[in-house]
Amino acid sequence: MENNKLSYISWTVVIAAILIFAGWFLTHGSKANLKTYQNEKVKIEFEYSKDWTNMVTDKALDKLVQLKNPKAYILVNNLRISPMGLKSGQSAYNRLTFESYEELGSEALEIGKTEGFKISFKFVNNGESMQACEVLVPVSDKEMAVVGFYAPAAEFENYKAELEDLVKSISIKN
Amino acid sequence: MKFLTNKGFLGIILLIIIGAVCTWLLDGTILSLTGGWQILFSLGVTLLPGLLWLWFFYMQDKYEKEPPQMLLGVFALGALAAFTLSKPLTAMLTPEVSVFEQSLLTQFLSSFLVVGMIQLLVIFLVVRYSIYFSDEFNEPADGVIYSIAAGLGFAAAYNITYLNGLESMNMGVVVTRIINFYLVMAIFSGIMGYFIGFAKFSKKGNFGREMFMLIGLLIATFIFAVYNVIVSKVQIFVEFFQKIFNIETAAGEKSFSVGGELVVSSIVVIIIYIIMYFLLNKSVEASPFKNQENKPE
Repeated sequence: MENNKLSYISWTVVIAAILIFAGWFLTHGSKANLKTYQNEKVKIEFEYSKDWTNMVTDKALDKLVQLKNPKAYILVNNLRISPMGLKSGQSAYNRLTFESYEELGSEALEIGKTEGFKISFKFVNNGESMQACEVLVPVSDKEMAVVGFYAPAAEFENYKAELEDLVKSISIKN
Repeated sequence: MKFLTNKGFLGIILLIIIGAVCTWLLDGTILSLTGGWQILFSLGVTLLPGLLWLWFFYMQDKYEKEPPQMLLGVFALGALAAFTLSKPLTAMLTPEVSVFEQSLLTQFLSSFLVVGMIQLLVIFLVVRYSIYFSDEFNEPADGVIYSIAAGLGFAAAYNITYLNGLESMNMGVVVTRIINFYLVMAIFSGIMGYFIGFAKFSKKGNFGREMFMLIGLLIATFIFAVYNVIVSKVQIFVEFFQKIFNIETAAGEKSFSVGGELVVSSIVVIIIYIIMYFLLNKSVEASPFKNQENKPE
């Protein structure tokens, strides 16, 4: 084969570059300060600040997303609803999961036409005192999405406004 | 069914078995390394399967084997291009939202037109602008072999970065990831390489060659995107089997394990490999060195 007949100009590269640009144009997200988290499986969505970084490190699909900023994190899980009920089941689960779990309060929440729950609690993680708020959103008769917001207890107040906005923005997609 | 005794196929089965055993034995084993130890460990764990895999494919080229130094050179170029081109471009152009949260269409478009296209284009560039012009690239099968070498180097770079970015490593997850990524990059690069090999020896002129290579890039990228979508929806398959076998998962317990990913991706990889086996075989049989008299000195 005579290699001197081969061209150095590659149309493949040009066409691929155009396709990449088209792909970027079709898929890139909003440039606004808020990003929208949407989950097709459990049909929930909420808004969060662009400052949060997605930290999903494994494909354990009950953990739908983990967002971090920089000491606090938001974790969305897809869990089965315990026979004990939405709120009691999750409290019992948390008591087993978190060290020094202490419930600070809970309240019912209207999320669209669905009744959810908000649980606030404290716990200890690797010797650090943490405060958390979990919103339980039933997505079917058997399953719920748990949107959890966790931060060091000493800094929880700094995140309060952001947490309230996030909780308000939670909705169930039709 | 000749492929069942093929070394590459046996290599895939061996790697899948190693992955399954490691997942079973090591899942939950957390390893925390820092500094030099982490770099040494990640180099060892990632380079070893990559080079082993390269050797498997090197053995497939039965009529005129490529010089090992050229294969290692293309492997190194693939790794270099991954660090310098693919990683920055992918970080810049992919949607900020994780693939797990995107709609199916966005996920497919992102995998096909952005992530897959960038990654396979980078591998294409490595082959097209290095070995393609070399006299060593002297038979159609070389397109497959050198593209696989570039793809494995590429995967090695991603695997090394992946391991070095972890604060602690769940060994079951790590081994599965490394093996999976090597397998898929080798196979997708090999499919693209089949077209590069035939393009170089085509008599259709440069435009015809380019079209042939473009078709190869598009087919490989399309399969890459389909694979990505299937693997990211692996829970659907796991739930399907759970329903069939009536497996109940307690509240709060993980309903998906790394093993599930390994099983689904292994099935897909084996199917794609069988396709690639026939393509590789076809290019090897098209070798001008099939008759030993033609073999170069």
